[in-house]
Amino acid sequence: MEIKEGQTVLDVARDAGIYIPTLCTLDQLPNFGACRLCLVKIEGMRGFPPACSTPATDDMDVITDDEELNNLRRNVVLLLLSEHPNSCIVCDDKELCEKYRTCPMKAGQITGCQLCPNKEDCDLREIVEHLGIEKVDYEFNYKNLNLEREDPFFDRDYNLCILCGRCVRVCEEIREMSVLAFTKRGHETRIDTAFGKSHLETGCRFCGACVDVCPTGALSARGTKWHGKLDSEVKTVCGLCNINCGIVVGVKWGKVVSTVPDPTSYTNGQLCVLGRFCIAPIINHFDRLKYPLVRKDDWLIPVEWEEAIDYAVEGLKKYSPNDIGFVISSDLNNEAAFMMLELARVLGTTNIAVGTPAEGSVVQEALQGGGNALGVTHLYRMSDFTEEKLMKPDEISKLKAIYTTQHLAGIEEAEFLIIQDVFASKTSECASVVLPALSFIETEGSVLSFDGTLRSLNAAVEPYAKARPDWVITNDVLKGFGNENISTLEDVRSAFKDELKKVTLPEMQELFLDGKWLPRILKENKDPQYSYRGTDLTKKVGDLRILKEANQ
Amino acid sequence: MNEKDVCKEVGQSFKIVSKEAVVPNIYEMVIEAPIIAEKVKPGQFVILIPDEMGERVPFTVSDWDVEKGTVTIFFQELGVSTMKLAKMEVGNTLESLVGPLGKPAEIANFGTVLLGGGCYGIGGIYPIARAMKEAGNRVITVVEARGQYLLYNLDKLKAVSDQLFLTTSDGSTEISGKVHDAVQHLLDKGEKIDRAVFMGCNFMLMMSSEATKSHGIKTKVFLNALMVDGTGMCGCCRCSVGGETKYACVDGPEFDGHEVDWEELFKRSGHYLNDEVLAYQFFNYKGCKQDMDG
Amino acid sequence: MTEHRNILVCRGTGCVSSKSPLIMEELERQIKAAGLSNEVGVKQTGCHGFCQRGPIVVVEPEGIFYCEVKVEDVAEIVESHIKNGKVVERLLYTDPKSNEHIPHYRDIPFYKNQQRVILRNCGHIDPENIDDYISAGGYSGLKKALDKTQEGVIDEVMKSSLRGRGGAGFPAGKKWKLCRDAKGEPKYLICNADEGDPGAFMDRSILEADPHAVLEGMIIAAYAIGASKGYVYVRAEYPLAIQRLECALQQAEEHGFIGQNILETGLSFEIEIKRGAGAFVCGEETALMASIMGERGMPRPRPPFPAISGVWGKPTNINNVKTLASIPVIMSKGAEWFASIGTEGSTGTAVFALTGNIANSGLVEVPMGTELGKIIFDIGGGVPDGKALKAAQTGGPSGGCIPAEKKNIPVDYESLTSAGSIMGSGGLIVMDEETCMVDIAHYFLSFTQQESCGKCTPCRVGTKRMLEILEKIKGGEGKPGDLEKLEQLAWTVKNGSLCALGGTAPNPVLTTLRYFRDEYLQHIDNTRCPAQVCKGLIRYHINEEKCIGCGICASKCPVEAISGEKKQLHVIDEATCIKCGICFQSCPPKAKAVEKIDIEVIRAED
Repeated sequence: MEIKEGQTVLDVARDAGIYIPTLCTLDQLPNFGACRLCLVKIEGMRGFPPACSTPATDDMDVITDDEELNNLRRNVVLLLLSEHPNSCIVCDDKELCEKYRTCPMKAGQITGCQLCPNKEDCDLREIVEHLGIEKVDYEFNYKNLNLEREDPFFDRDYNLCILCGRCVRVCEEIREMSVLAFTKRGHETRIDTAFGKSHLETGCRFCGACVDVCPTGALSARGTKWHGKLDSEVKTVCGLCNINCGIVVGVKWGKVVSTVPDPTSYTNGQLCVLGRFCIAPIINHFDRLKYPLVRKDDWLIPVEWEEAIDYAVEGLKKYSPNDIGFVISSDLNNEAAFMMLELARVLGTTNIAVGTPAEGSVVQEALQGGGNALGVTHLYRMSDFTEEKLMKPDEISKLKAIYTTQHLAGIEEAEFLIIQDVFASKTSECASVVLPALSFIETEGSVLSFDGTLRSLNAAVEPYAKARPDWVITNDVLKGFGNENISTLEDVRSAFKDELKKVTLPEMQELFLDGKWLPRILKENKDPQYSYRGTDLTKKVGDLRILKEANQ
Repeated sequence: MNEKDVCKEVGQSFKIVSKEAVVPNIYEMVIEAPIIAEKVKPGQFVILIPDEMGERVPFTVSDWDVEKGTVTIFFQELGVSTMKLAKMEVGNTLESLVGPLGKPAEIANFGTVLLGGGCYGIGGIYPIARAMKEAGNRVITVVEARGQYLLYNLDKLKAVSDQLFLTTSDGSTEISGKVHDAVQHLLDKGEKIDRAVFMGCNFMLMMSSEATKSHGIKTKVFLNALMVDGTGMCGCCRCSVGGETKYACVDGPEFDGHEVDWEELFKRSGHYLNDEVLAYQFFNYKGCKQDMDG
Repeated sequence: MTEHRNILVCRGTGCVSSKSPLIMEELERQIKAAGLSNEVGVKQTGCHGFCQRGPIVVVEPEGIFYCEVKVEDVAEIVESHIKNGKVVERLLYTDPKSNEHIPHYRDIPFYKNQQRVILRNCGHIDPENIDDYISAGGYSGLKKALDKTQEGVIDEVMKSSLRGRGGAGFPAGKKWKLCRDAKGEPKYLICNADEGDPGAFMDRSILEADPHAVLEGMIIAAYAIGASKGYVYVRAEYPLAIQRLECALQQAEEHGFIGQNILETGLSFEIEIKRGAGAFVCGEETALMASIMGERGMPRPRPPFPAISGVWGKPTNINNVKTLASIPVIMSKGAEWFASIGTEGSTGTAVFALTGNIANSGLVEVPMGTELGKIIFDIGGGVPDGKALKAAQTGGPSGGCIPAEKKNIPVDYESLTSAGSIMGSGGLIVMDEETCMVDIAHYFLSFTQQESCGKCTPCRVGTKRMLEILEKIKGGEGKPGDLEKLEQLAWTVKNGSLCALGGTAPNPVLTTLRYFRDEYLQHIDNTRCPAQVCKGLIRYHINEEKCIGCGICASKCPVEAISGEKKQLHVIDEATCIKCGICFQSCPPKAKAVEKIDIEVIRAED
């Protein structure tokens, strides 16, 4: 076996495909040695050294699996099970029960696997099965601790906790927040915050890293925990700020039910509160725009797409180019932004405003400027528009006809207002035409992240209601002006892709040398702006509002 | 005039008199409802709405006190509505409470009656046990749970039962297993049972009914069907019993356990599963209300 | 009255708590009043070790040993002994066997049979006076060490075969060498004074009585290892030890033994005192280091060993107080002299805090390899009140019980380990025949269980499950198979735990099971506690014929469970009785009416 410098016995075994059970180890985290399941036998060493923290050497003779080791591991797991609800594991009827109690029981307090949101990926259950444990000889000892769910976003049921310490270590070592700690001692040892404060009081940023690493159901994301086994998982990037962290979207019943960090992405499996907890509630929010609407006799009436596009085109044709303005949201993907610029070019206007740009360092701009701020800015520069011409939102609002891709206060008074957005808003209520767009999670596309790298957006679910991708809508409007050059996404891309590829910011690469760069910049700065396409997300996600209020 | 105002008009406030987590995840709630307390009979249920944004949820009446004018329910926290209920405090008022609903349980002197309860049914079976005892039956009560720490209401049940057996999945009590294992155990010991009544989750009802079937014991079960109005209008609680279509709310909830079409019941019960789960997406626990302002 | 006299007053924690500072004040006042200030000095000392008989006052140079002295006795000592040369007989130590007064320190059996190397200065010098220490040969070891090369010092320690006195017995010289050879700067030296065993007070006494010996040991070690910074990790419950250490540190600095350019050699070393919050687990070296760094005192897996990566990730050497206090003598008297004491495998001496059912409890020091019985009977004076010895526990809660029949076992690392116990850091608890071994195992295990850091599963949960079984056995609810279950659990905890706290926690259970299995079986099979200790298996009863109706028991009962008129028979209400045993103890010896009776446990049919 080949041994690399600094590898432990566990690392070497894993590389060689040898299974050693563990509960407390975790990539990226220092060894902890608490769960005592990776104990092995090494010739020349006393007792049972833990594989996770014993450095491997070339001449080592290691036994990873024999009756004695299994006995020891079984005994340790039995001790855990003596305090972790285990009745489902040992129940004779578990198979029938699985069949008939198919509903995930959305229980407040978990007293068996059947009720546990973590049932599908419980590390403890996996190990119980591996070790073939069918009976727990100890009288069950329920800790009967209060369920902690006064804080936003995630519930904590420490009755399920096995004290592996992963949450404490990820909070301390990776996120450098140290919200969680071990408290008390002996059998009373618990995971808790300092002085038992609520997470809000401790200044927790609700990044959810602790929830992601919990091997049991002790820590669970409240909004998204009960869906059971996912139908599919789709890798994409988050479009709520320009860092564009890698996410894995969980899909069930055709809906987005969860988003968790993508460990293979450049953000190394870390997210912020928005990416971790807010995407699913935003995407599924009932306030989404569902159908194209046009104003008839002062009422906004649902119509077919063709009618809505015609209405928009005919409306725009009534104005001279100087009277028409465009608002390009910096949350638009490159394709959509390009199409908007193209439309402006064809109409012959330079009245363009771009989102609500943020000022500050590169990182601050990325966090506060919108999900594709860099991409939209570069596309604007690429077109023949000069930056001096870029308009401020209040200048746009004086124009007679406005085509906006986001909610923007102050433009409601325009004579002819087209809004192409994801959410209903004050703007959409006043609009002449409402064109429902798909969010970043439902469309193909690309963004230019703050480091100058092009990243792909993948559609995780089928289109929502009648909504369409932004670039398609704008292209349809463009066709109304006789411009039919573009018909596929590839056509759009080929028009700008090479240009955007040239945008590289080599100085950013230094930042990424440290695997903990994302937690660090999040810690040093505020969370990304709580808005998407001009809509205040705290009005869409109650828990986010609670977090914002607590921080004020 | 809405439902709440009507209730106030007739002197019904539905104030929560007490609320206690008797075991993890199962709560006992005593609610002020003097008119219901006067009328209710064993086996009947009420439908309540926790708050103004809430939905209608049925609960078996587990006890009542005519003098104090209260009714008692046991509920397990298993979704948005029961979570709201679990969060309510003593002194709070329910949005509404309707009842008694459903037919009362059939009570007569059958001889030896076996009563089986699981989950909320451990609490819910009590008035039936009491009535059966008063009717002169020999009452054997069996209650099931995952572990001993999840059993409750035992003192009350003991007082109205000739024998009380505890069964648990993890083997922490005298009988290991579920109610149907206990039934088998009793029959094996030569116990003669004239009638069986079960209350608990549908899975437990099905398993227990199967256990009594081959012995020809007349078996009654209290079905858990999805229910909206509770007066036979909506048809939501439709189920098939003995080949006939029945409505759990007005024809039941007590039915012959050997006649129920279980597969259909499970299918219907799971129908709104994804919506139930997705309801959590919008649920703001702390505010206990849905986010409507946008 | 021609020669100069010194009156030594013990001011160790034990004697201080029985008012020795007042005695000292009174002595000073009366000597002054008598105009004897020039001829007679009054001097404070640290602990003499014979704490049971404190407060202790010694008159030198005769070496007259007064014990259990009260403030009121001062006048007589001054008048009779100091002024008239007549020893105050009633304050002398009385041998419990011969009932004779023994006037001289050196003749008292408790001291006669000891060999004091580590405790060499304890009770003889003023711990707050560095000159006293220097005139007793202090800091000469340091000077000798500084004359050698660093390797030379390590060689000398290696030759002495000194083993760590903290418990595990790792060779000190080897440990030093590992740290010296390790890469990384700066290097740290830690004195582990986190003494936590119940009933043990060796380290505290040394720090209180002879702090400079520890400091000198540390400076020598620092020189040998190349450490520039030292920590003394001492629990905050030892305020007097901390105070004396601080005082000694300041004096040593003033004398140029600590600080920059020590004794003009260019060596620099500073020492910081770290106060621990009293967690037992912080005696474990990796937990101790975590605590020093301000983290939760939780052990971590080794490797890396502290010698490679310790405090702040730098090479660190950790030694126990007694190990470090041995270093100066090894330097001044030589490794060969030290190695000549004790056995081949365990050189030098061992210090014990002798407690429990023993006539003379206190601090004792004997050569390694001394028979256990010799310590208990010759030094300790045996078990009092004519009771028989049942067992002795070495190594505190991490150690094991050695039965009376093994009393000839030599006290050294290997012998104790083979008996299932450990040397530990020096607790020695003697138990008489009225001790229940199940109760003892339960007591020690409940201690380690509570003091577990909670990190690893076997220690956190395993000890709890073991304790529950012991509780059931004690309560008469033991079941056949419980002992096998206990053994299985003990095996898991011993082999599965992360650190030595868990690794040794089952020892009291395992040794009592090994030597007193029958007593366990009595509890389980016959629901009987042979020693009548376990509350669940006994009840208290007042013998109708013996009760004299004095009412003492009723007045002392904390729960008012005893009723009865004066001069009438008293009765215990068993429903109220909490079995505290106060009635049993307070019943006048002439009546002896309160009896312990085995309870008849009616078992439910399985």
